[in-house]
Order: sequence, then structure tokens, then C-alpha cells
Amino acid sequence: MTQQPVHTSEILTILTELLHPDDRFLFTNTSEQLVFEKFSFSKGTIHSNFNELNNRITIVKKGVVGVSHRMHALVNWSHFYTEGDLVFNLEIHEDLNRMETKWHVLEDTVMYSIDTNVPDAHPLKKLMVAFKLQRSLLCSYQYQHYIKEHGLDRHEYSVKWIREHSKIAAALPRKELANFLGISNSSLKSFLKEALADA
Amino acid sequence: MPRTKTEVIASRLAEMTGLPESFPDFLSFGELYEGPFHFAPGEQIWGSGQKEGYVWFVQAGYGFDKIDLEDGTTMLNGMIEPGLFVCDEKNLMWGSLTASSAKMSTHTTAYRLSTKEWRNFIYSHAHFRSYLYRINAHFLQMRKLRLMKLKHQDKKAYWEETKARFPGIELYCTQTEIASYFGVSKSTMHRIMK
Repeated sequence: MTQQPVHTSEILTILTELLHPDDRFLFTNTSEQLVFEKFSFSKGTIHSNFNELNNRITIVKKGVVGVSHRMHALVNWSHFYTEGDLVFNLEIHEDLNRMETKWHVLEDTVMYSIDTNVPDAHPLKKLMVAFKLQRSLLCSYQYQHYIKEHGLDRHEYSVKWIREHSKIAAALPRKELANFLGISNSSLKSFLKEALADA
Repeated sequence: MPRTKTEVIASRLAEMTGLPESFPDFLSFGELYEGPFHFAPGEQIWGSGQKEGYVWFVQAGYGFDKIDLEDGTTMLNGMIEPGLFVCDEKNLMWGSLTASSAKMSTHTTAYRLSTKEWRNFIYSHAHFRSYLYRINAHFLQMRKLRLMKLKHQDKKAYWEETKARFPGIELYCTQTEIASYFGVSKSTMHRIMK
């Protein structure tokens, strides 16, 4: 872990968009004061908790982290964090993690993170409280988003997902990929063919 | 003796957190709510595409909320039942137009707090905020479980479990809506429900 300023416009845009529009004024002219810490994860590592990211807003700068849960014998993937995604380590918080949720680092990954725990007198206190509230709401809203994706037409959704995430699709065993997309192995075979036809 | 709106809301928060209902933040939070509002069966508490958003507290009544999907269809999200705080989350987080709706199936009594006032209260009450974070953390675990059940649980068993949890669901929701809750086609749902 190293400390360094990373005021890239992409990261600042992600942070701005995380805030409620009424709170975005808190971010005006303050971004230079944010302290980012860099976290690196090596490909192949698996994390069943990561307390270093507690009380933080964390964004993937590069790499891929897959999130799995235990239900029945199979590894059940729910989502994959890629560049630009906000990461929620609450899903693997050791006190709450009853489904053995794990992070699987599928590619060497770099995340940038800011600590939202600041003293009351800190000039960015209000901004950090706003970030913390949004993070708290967003982590469960994100799961609602994954649930919603299963209401979409499986054929259309699966082909689109495979096209947009061809590297992840190629890295997963077929059975686990079919399971992630909520389709049968035979459907996966034809959807893969369709998705990769123009690749 | 009938309880006031403030007492009813504070009592529910006490139940959710294990704190006494006399906890000052619970009383001040309950005090902010407007109401009661009454809804007849078939009436919406809120609809999709509305600018004004509220965090509702349902004291009595049952219904269902549905969320809008990207393809223009809607998906049954879950049951609204007494004691529930419920809102359009997208509206709450970003002030966007509501992307969900909530229709009640029985006579309902509810109270509401505008999302702006809700946010102001959370920002100015640090203790309340910390309890909210804990509640949200447990809510996240429930959604993880719902996602895994949607993807992997035997659909017949999930249907039986859902019927027990949401009595009368087949009377109040169409088969298409129920199918969306299970992530299956209408014909598959028809077979499961037989």
C-alpha cells in the first residue's frame, strides 16, 4: 500500500457521480485535498475479508476481481469488478459474511481508495459523511442491480455480456459461466458462438 | 390506547436495532414523518417516473413493489408489509425520477418523509447514521441471498417458500410478474405453479 495523489479525471468523475446532486458542491475545489491510497492485488489470490478497505471509498483502476458466494457445491459468481467500478468490501465483511463470499483476483489489480473516517474538525468532514452514506446505500443497491439483470431476456443479456467481457468469459470454466449467466450449458454453447462470431 | 405516529415509527426502529424506543433520535425521526396516508386496495403508494420521492413507513397493509428494467419491462421486487421502510432507491440516492412503483393489495396506512428531509436528518444525526449503516449491511446480506436463490435454488422449492412468505401472491400479481421474480419465462412459471 502506498500513498499518492491520483487526481485523474476518470476517478474524480466517478466520485462526483457517486454523490447525490445536492451534495456535489461539497466536492468543488476540494478534490486536491483528497488522499488516495493504492492497493495492489496479485492475480490468483483469493480474499474472504479485506478489513484494510473498511470505511473507504475504493475504485478499481485496473484489473478484474470476481465475487463468488457459496450455495450448493458450485462456485457461484455474482459479479466482476473491472476498471472504474466502485468496490464494496462490506460484501466480504467477516462479521456478516454468512455465504462465504470471496474476492477472486482474476488479473493483477490496482485499486485507489480514500479513507472516509476523518475527525469532526476535518475540512472534508461533510464530504466524507456524504460519501459514506452513498456507499452504504449503493452497496445494497448494486445487488438489486444484479437481481434486476436476471429479469432481462437471457439470450440478449448473455450475448451482450459475453461480448463486453470476453476476457472474463474466456477465463471461467464453462459450467461456472453458464451458472453466472443463469443459462444451461447448451444455451451457453450457442450464445458463445453468436457473441464471438464477429469478434 | 392508540399510539401516535412518532411512537409507532420509534417502536419499529427500536425493534430493528435493539435500542429503546425512547432513543431521542428515533423520536425526532418519527416526528418528521407526515401522515397518516390511507390507500385502498389497488392504489399506488408511488408510481414510476415521479420526481418527488419519499421514504415511506407502512404501518398496516400489504402490497408489492416493482422495478423498471432496461428493456422497458418491470420486475416484481418484493412484498410490502407492515413495519417496512420502503422507497425508490435510485430517487433516494441521486434524486432521479422514480424507477419503481408500489401498489397496495389491501387497505393501507402509511407515513412519509421526503428524501431531502431524510437526507438532512441522516447528515445531522451521527448516531442514527451509524445504526442506518448497520441496517444497510444486513440488508446487503439479504440481497445476496435473494440473488443466489434467484440463480440457483430449485424453482419449485423457491415458489413454495415464496408462497409461504407472501400469502396470496398469486391473487395480487400476474403470472408474468411472478415469473419475473423468479427469473423464468411465463410458461416455465406456469409449470412451476401447477
